[in-house]
Amino acid sequence: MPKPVAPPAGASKAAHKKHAEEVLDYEPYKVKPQDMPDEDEVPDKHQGGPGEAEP
Amino acid sequence: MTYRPRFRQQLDGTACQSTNCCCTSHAMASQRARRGDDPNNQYGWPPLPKPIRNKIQDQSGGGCSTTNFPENERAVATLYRVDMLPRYNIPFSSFRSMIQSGRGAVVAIKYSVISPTRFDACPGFGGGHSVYVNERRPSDGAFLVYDPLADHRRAGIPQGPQWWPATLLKRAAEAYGGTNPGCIHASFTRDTEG
Repeated sequence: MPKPVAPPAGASKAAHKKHAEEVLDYEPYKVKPQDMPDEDEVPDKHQGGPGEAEP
Repeated sequence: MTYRPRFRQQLDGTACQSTNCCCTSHAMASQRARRGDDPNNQYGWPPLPKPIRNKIQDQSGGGCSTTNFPENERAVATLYRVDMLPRYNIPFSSFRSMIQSGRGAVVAIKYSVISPTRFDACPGFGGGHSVYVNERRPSDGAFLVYDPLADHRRAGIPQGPQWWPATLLKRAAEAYGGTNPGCIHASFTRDTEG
């Protein structure tokens, strides 16, 4: 199956729906890269609501 | 009008809040996928990051470690009967077209691209992150982005969904670790706009 090519942004909704199905069917896009990292831990934290003290 | 899920914040005081961006993004995606319709099962509604995290721990273990698309996909399928469709290394133009087709998506981004902008919701953080993208605005091509960190927890932090310029989302997604040049990783909802 050839690599799907996106229609321009101004194309019809039907064209975008057709492209979406092509993307979802394209097997190479289903393969999760082995070296794909997970997201990282954020340094911030919940700062609470009224009555909760900030650290 | 495109259905808009309720914004959910990642930093909610729960034990795994610091690593729950993907769970939180999938909570919002799940609500979009069902257009707010409660599946009426034993797992509760609306979708929230904590039950998704708990289900991942049940299914995959890992405590409060970072999570990935497949783990969240399995969790929301069980909890909310939502089928997410993760795809890897797709051109940004295809992502844009899929959003236009009627789908929402969880997108992997590099937060250091967001840091210098007014959309920065976590000063000092520049690592890998997940956001939920609900729709594209035709007038200027901007995307409605639900950043789980945008909870206005102090002055200067954005609150709730924001319209990000397409160029910014594109750069942030393309900068995620391990993506091919010009490509991004995203997990899509079903088409909710028939």
